[in-house]
Amino acid sequence: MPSPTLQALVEAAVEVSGADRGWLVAGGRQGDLMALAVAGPGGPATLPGPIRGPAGAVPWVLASGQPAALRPAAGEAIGAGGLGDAGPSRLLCVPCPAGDDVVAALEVVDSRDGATAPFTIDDVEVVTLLGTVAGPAVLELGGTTPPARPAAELAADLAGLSAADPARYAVVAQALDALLG
Amino acid sequence: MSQVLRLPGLTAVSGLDPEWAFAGATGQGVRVAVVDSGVEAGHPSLGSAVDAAAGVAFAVAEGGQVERRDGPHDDAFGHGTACAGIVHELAPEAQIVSVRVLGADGSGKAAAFLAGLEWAVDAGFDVINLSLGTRKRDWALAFYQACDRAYFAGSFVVTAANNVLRESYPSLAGSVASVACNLATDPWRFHWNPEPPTEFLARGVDVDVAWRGGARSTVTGNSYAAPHIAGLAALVLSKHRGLRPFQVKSALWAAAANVVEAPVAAGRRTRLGASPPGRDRATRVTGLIRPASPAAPEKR
Repeated sequence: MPSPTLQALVEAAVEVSGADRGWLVAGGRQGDLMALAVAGPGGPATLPGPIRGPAGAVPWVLASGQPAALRPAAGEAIGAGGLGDAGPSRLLCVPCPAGDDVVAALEVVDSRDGATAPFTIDDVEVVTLLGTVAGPAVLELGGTTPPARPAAELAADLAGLSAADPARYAVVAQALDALLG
Repeated sequence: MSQVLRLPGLTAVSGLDPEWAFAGATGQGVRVAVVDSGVEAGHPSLGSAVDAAAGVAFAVAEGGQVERRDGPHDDAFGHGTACAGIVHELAPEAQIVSVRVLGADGSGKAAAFLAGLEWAVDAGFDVINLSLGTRKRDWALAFYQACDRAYFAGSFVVTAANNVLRESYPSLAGSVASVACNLATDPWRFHWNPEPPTEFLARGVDVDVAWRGGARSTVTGNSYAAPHIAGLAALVLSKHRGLRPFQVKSALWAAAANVVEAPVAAGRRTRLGASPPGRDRATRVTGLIRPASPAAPEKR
């Protein structure tokens, strides 16, 4: 059974970015990857579950700590393996940091309205913010108290983004309100 | 060691301009290290720019020691090939060498990143593109030291500013050129940021790049802005050999769009002021640049 918190974050990421589906993938100690939450069609029947096969952008994001926003070549199987069709038309994968470590990656792919334009810089910013919230949540699942970013710092980030586009970030604000009480 | 005592062809710093920096330059004679996921040397977009045999790969073994393997290698993800392609597009005759610091599965650790950077410094590369970094504060001093060593040895290190407002090393070091995205579609249109630590803004949104498998992809991120500055630095160094990193930075500053286009007081020629890059919406950037308002105040 996926964590409700992580599930909500993935669903929020899919919603705000206009993606078709998304997932949260945690990096294991020995390089194995574990799917923790999935939103949209497809995905394994049981979560959390190990990922078999190629994992596309996730390992790079986990290692580099940088987001990957790209429109892959046609047919390139770059989405996290086993969690959807190969060859997404567009992909956005962001790190989920907890303290100094990147503990997971939040990835969204394709478009629910069939659009083929790449994810925008706004999408990168919003999904990255959700990834920042997801990181400590992933650690908590493992029973470890995470070094969380101060609430005031996260609120300042959201305030800055909201000033630029209030309507766009209203969904993010609602999700965070529900999660953080 | 550089013997440049005066900037060639100039009698004053105010004479620096894009013509001085770039005109006629191709990158010939300049070596660029791409410290990344590897570079696909045979990619059709790279021509013969990549010296595959000179490549090197670093990885951290299970016991924690960093292992080095010399020679050709592939690209674990595509990012390194993309960065190399951007450098090649701007400086077509620069020689590119791949320093892979991410494993075959894309995994990587700060120790490998540092080893790759130090190797490139020891090898005396003119330009080192490091579109990666680490958040781990324990590694900050080591990266600062490596970048200082590069600076004093004459290597121009270009890093990508973190895409989020978090510390990332070595992009915060003063001895590197830290780069974030602007919203330009022209690869030659870059800006100087008057509010460091990020010092330059370059194209990094919806960039068409070479990707692994001989393919191409459209990408977004600060990590694609950095190789633009690396390529431009290669041009400067190919035209003006022996410049120190601070001189290369000065040349890039003088050629930046917001410096070239800065308002000039009547009867006085000055490049000491720079308009904010607001006309290109370049203030809407990721990374460590956070404008207070959509139009940043003008600075003189």
